[in-house]
Amino acid sequence: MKNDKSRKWQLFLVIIVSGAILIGSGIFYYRYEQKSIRKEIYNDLHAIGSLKINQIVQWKKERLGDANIIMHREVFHFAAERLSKPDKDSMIFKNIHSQMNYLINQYGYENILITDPGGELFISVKEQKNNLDSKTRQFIMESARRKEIVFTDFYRDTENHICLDIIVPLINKYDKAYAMVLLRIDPCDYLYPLIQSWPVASNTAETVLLRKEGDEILFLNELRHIPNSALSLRIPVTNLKVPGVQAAIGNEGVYEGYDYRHKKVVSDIRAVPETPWFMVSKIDRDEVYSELRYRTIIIIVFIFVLMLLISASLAWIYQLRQNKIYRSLHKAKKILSETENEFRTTLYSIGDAVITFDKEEKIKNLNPVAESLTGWKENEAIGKNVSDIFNIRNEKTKMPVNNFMGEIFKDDGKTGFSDNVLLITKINKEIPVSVSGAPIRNDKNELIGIILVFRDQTEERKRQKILIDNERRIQNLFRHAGDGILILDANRTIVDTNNMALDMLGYNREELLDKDITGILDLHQSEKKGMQFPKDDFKIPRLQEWKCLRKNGSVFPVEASVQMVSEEEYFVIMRDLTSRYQMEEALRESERKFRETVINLDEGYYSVTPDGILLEHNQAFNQLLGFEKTADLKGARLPDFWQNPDERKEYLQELKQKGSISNYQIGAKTIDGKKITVIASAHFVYNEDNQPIRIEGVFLDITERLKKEEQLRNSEERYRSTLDNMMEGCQILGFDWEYLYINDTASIHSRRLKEELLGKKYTEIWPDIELTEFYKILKNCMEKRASKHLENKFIFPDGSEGWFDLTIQPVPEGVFILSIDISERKKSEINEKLTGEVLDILNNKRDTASMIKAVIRSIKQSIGMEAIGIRLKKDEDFPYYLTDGFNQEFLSDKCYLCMHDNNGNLIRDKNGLPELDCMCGDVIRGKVNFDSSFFTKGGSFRSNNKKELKIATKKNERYSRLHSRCRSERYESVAFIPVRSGTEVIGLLHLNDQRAHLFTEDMILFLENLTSNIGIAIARNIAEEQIRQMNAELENRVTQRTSQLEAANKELEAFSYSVSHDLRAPLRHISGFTDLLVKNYREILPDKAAHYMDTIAKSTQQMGLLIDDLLEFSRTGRTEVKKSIFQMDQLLDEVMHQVKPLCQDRIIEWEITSMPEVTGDQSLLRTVWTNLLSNAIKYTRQKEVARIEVGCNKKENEYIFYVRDNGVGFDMKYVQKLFGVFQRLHAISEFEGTGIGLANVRRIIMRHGGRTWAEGKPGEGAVFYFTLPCYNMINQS
Amino acid sequence: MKLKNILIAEDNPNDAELTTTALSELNLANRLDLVVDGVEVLEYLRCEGKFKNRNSGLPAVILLDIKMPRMNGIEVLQTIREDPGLKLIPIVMLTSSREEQDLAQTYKLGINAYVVKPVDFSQFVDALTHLGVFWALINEAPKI
Repeated sequence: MKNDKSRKWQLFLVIIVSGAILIGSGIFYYRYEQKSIRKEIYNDLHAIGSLKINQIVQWKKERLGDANIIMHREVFHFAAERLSKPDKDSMIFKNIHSQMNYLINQYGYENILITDPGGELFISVKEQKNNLDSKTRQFIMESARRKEIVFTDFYRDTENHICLDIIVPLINKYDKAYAMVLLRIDPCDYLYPLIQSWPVASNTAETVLLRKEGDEILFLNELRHIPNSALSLRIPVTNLKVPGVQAAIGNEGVYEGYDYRHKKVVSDIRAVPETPWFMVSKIDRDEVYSELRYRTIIIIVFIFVLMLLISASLAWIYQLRQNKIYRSLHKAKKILSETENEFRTTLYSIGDAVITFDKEEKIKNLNPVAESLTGWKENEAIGKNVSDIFNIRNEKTKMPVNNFMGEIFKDDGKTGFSDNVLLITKINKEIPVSVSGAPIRNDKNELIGIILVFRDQTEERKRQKILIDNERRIQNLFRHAGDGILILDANRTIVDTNNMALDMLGYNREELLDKDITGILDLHQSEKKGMQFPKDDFKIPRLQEWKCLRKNGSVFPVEASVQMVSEEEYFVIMRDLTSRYQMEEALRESERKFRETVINLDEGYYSVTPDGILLEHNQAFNQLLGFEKTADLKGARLPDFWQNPDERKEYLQELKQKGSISNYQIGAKTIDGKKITVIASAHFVYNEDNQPIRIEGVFLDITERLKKEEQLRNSEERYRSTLDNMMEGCQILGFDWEYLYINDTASIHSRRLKEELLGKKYTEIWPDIELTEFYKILKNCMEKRASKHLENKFIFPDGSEGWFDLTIQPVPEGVFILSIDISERKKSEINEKLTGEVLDILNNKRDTASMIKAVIRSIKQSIGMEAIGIRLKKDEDFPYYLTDGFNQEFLSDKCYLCMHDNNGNLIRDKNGLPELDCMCGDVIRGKVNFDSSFFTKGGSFRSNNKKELKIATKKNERYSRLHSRCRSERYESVAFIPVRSGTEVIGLLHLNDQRAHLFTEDMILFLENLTSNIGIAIARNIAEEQIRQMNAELENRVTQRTSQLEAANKELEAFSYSVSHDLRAPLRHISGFTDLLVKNYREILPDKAAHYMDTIAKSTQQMGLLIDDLLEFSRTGRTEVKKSIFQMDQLLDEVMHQVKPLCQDRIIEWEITSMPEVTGDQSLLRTVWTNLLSNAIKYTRQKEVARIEVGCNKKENEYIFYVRDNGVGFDMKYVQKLFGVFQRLHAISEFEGTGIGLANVRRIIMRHGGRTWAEGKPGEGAVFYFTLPCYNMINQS
Repeated sequence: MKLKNILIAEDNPNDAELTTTALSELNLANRLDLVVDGVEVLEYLRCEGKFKNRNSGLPAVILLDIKMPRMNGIEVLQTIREDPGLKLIPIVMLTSSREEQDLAQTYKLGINAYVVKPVDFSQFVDALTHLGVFWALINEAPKI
């Protein structure tokens, strides 16, 4: 208990300490947040305040800028002058009105008024007014007096309207203000929204503008929290807690005080520079800290929750410990009740009937099965004596079982069992049951009750009876079955048999039992039939044929069905097949006989005994020998039908020797003496002992057939003589490819004598014919008997060719070939086709190489030369231009024809032409012998075999290098045809083949014709190609130059880009940091350092200008000139306005003539005018009164613009340098500048198609001219 | 009440310092976040990479240099304008020159303003101060 109490104390202490820590850190966090929020709000107020002040200052600067422009703007002077005159032209008035209106809209003023210096109104643009408010008049008069722009502060006029005006005096040349322009600003338009706006959503934040008036401060803008407060709310300066007052007495920065509502606020206060205004940016303290308050609440809640959590968790731990004890108690109780439940469930769900009772034999439990068996309900039975409920009798004696308890405990008092007991149910029904029982004992092994388990046996008894009945039936079936049945054990020993089996085998039962199954089998035969005993897989009966052995030793066939019934039992069911076998044998015999009788109906058939007595004969036999068709000659002797007894003898002898004879031609006679020829066959028929029992014979009458054959032979003779004399070639090949027949024409077609061919094999005569398509056709006809008609090119063994129209037909002897020679027709067809093809190529191919290639291919395909080449003139030689089919070595050896002397110099003939080697050279040079048959009139050469080639060659050349090279290639047929362009030989067509006799004269003439066309085409193409090549070269040069130019342009662009970006950056840094240095350390910098800094700053500025100018210059070169039509007057006006600031403190007399309408790029021309005018202003600086003339003259079809000044001028010596880049004629200390302006002017004018020039004299002035083309003139003309 | 930040993307440390100095003259120095290239701009806006732990919230305006490593200003601009979550952020382009191709392209992509960094520093401060749109841009909800 003491322990418990101290623990409680400990817990309490922990709670207090952790609470203190939490609260401490909460307070610390709050302080920190407060500090950071305050810092943040100070920063933001500061930023907002200064941004707004910047905007206000900027705004004021712009307004004053407007005023400045108006002060010098011609428009206002013009307007004021007109208005000040008494006669007011309503038109002008309207005009001025609209111009002013434009200004109001443009610059966002409320109104513009023009008055005289006394404040008398000339015009009010917006509202119609007659005179001005007195306060406004005062301001106007002040401005007129001071001749300065006056920026009035906010004031309320007599109509209580808030005003803010800028008053601009217009000064005339007598330096007097003669009119006043009043720009009235509506503060609600820009200024008030600017002041009032706040960058983020806030309920109380605002900025206020105020000024000090006497001892009070006056709020200038509309306040957020007090309506209509502008220029009306005042607070005395003595009220120091108001931030506005603090600002007014000169304080700046963050101030916490009370605002005009006496609310606590945080504010940033400061003066607005160059105005009498102060600005207060403020926000309610409440709002600033509202978030902090919110966070504080969260922190408190958080701490509170955390403390609650700590307390709760401690309490929970205490509780947990208590729980543990209760839980273990509960668990023990639960286990007990579960065990009981388990017992009950088992008892009531068990399939057997169960009864329990105590040792007083009173029932305790009775499960549902026991209820249904005994007929008692459990609730009825409980408490009753067990013998009332469980009433049992001995099944046999039907006597009650008295000593049941004794029965149960007979086995050392543990369990008891009884099988044949009858249970008498509540309704006296008897049920056979089996009972078992067991005592129930407690821990101390005392008997406390009994459990009885019993089961209904009725169903079981029924099943037993059915089983016995079945057994008996099967026994019967087995004993008296019609088939023999044997039952074998695993060792194939017969263990049982039925009567039929005993009958079949001739054993009695005792003899057969225990016999091995092999004992009843004729093993020799059965094994042959592959008798098998079933192994494990013989679950299905298997049918086999056995030869069984009877007790008396006889063998009989049996059909046995063997089945494995179980692991150690086989069933064999046997059926005697003896009678079935006998029947099958008889059937076979009759069948054979039947067949023998029926055959050979067409031929004469007979069957005789060896003694010659007729056993059988058919009707054909009768007819053949001249008997009555239906006569029956059985039993008679076979008639003697032989014409010749010797022949008969020979025949019989042969028959006896061989046992049979076939297709024996016999001269026979019929019984009425008619001679016939028959073919006979016969054979002996033997019995089982190999003794001849009869002779069977057939014979066929062939008399008619022989007669027909004779007739056929006669007609063939006739046909043959027709074929022999035909104009078409006819030949017949036998099935063994032998020439069977050939007529004269065919012999000519084949170029062989008939004798050379007949009897020879086709394939011997024509070697390699098997490889040709034609042979396949022949073979197809030979084997498949297919006829065919075709035109075929036939190449003879010597290489020559012939074209034939062929008809191939199957004939009984083999193949018949009909041939017509169509070589001539074919050749002219080929030549025509080739000419067409070549002309087509020559006309369509413009490229010489591909043209010649196509021509060569075409010729080669068409006339089938092995090698074709063309030589073309190149310099003085004629090398191969293109070849097809020559080997490489030959080509490299024979390529060049020029001959050289020993020093390697060309050998020239008397005409100065190089001597050319070989026959090729001769043909090219025309050194041909026209009388010789090798040359044609056209100067071509041909030879049809090696011998001819040798003869044709001049003796001294026969062994020259090139000639022997030609021969070593074994070319038989060679032809050279000169290629001509006009009369000049420009090349050579060269045809070679190893086959002889390819060239006829006709063919060479044809080729000459073809070659003359090729020559013309080549000459044409060569000319065309030269032109093309020149064109291509030109084009190539142009694109090359263009791309060079493009690259240069791109480089320039990249360069200027890099100049603009990369060069400016460091410059900017130098300038920036120099500036910062001066700004932040001015006090400690010595004077000299300040000077240096100034120089650095100026230099960087100069360089910045230089870069900008250079960039501008490069841009004018690059950018497109966007031309439009516009008034030069207008442009000049704009430029004048632009350069006005340069004229400050200067006296310049301008003389500007009117300008025409021009066509050009406005922005580029603006640059031109700006440059020229600013130059004029700059270089007249030293003149007291500067004079600048700007004008334009029209001359022919151009405008000449000029700017003339009376400035320092220049020496005409240097006029050339004037318009160059970086060219300056004056020192930079004298006149500042970059030296790019005039260069730029020249470039722009040049791009407009104009000119620039200048005239000048030192000290007297200069004139700068530029021209622009006058497009209108051009158009009109 | 809390002002939004200004994001400056500038790879050149000198330029970055000058810009920061110029803006600090407007008392906005404590609101500046500086990144050095285009990829970082996007990481900053999407609170990814090294800005994973940044307090979320988009800047009031982005001052974007055109020439930057990895991803240049124009690419950044394009990406931001295509991202529905970012496309409304005002962007002021800071650049060295007035080259037309830059100008035309950025205006096409929806730039809010364009400041050519002048060589003269005081001009630069003026330019930033006088960004007419500048104040209006920071203005989230003018409520009076």
